[in-house]
Amino acid sequence: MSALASRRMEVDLDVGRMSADALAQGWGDGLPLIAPTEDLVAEFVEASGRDAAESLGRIPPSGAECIVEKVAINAVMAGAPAESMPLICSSLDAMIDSPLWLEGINATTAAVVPAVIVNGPIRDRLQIPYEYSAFGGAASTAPAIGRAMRLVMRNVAGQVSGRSSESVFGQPGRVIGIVAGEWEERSPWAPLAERRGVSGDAVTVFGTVGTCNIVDSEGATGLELLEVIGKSLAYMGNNGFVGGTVFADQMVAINPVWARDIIARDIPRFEDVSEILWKAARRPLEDFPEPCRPGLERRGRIDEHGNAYLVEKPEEIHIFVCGGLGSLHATMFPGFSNSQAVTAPIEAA
Amino acid sequence: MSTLTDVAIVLDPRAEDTGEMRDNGGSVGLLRGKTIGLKTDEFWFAWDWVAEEWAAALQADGAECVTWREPMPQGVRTPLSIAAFEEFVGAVDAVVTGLANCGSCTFVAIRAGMAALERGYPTVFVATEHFERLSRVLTEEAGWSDIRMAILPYPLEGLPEAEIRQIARDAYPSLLASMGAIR
Repeated sequence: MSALASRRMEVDLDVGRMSADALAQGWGDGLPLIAPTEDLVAEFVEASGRDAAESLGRIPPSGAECIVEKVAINAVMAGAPAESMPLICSSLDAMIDSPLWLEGINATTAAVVPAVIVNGPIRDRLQIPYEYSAFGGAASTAPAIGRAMRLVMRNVAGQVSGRSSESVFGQPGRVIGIVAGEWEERSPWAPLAERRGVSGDAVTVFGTVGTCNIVDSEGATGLELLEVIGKSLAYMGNNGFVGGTVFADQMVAINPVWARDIIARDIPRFEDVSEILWKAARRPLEDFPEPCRPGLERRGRIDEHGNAYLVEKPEEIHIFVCGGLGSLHATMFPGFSNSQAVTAPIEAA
Repeated sequence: MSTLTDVAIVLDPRAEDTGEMRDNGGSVGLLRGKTIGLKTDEFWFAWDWVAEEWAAALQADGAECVTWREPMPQGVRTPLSIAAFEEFVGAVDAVVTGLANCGSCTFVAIRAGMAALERGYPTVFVATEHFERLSRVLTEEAGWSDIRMAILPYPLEGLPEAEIRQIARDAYPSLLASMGAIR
């Protein structure tokens, strides 16, 4: 194992004062921080199963080498459990130099942040939420794990609002990330990562501008629910409809009751579910103001009925199952221009 | 005044600053007989029209022009397509890259420009007013302290085509100045 090479700094032992100093010096996020002492950082590097000097790649916009040691320091500060280091490193690995297009995500005017969807037994080992309030509200390690990755973006990638990031509004996920699991045991379908070629412990990273609820209390069939979800996704301001967008993956979380008891009951094959959702995710071209139409027309994104479709293919809308058993809701994760989901195995320590 | 018991020694979470500084590229010099490469992409109609106007003006001043429309391919890391880029720069003497007109497209525009600078080409980065700062920040992060820039008004996209083309013609002298071009 390499010796820890980072510069040593003297900080105040008082958490409040240290965190305030970190904020003033540009390496804090405004929340309380845990002091990244050498012993703690060494423990986190050890837990990663990787060498401290191993680089996960050059991370934009700074182009700095994102070495495991820096990831460990930021994970300590975030309050993430050491056992989450393999998940954090694998997630960052999937984000850097990949079709997620982190360069665009970290510089854009949009509010986009990479969400991390976790599959496999590691969900329970790390207490990643996938049942009630999975995307916020359930007490769990997820916010600290997400925050670790966000601190890496701040401190290693150099993503600074109003300087290297043009994000006009940002979003809460840019502070604590968006980390949740799939409720595989209640899903009628194979896990998201498995459908994308990775079995067992895996992450799917996906650039989203936020979470948005979709409610329906009247739809009684699978077709009706998929129509509600698809048409909700195809809102006019979705990045998928922006003129400069060539493609923009989308993601949807469907609650277990809708997924298993209604949609899978009515539409047994997942491929059919995916196709129906894709067909529903379009809206009439005439809905768009005239100046917004040429970009869609130039890309040939108009079907034979004069509808603009959100994405080119069914598999560009990613579906997974999570959430409480109260039903009634789905959550959509609108995507980001020219960004695709990336699935990767979590490398064990 | 802190005492030994009040402080802890911690590791710096920030990336190490390499402090690397790079050459900002030379001037184009005499325009006549040179081939100027215009790098466009999928983002802005306005930039397509500006590039067309500038290509016409450059040709009127005796230069040749090659326009390369950078694709945004799926299933890859949406990189600068190195093979296509090499073919493009292999045919030119200088590069004009744009358009920095949003956050993510700024990265696409400067990526090609930085690749051109790495290969020693005189390079001008084109941005709208608001995105000049981001262009400079991102290139400075990569070691270029003072890139050559041509600036267009903001907002630009959404204006009538004729108005954008006139803006391009009006901005042409400033393009030449930033290139260090002599008519």
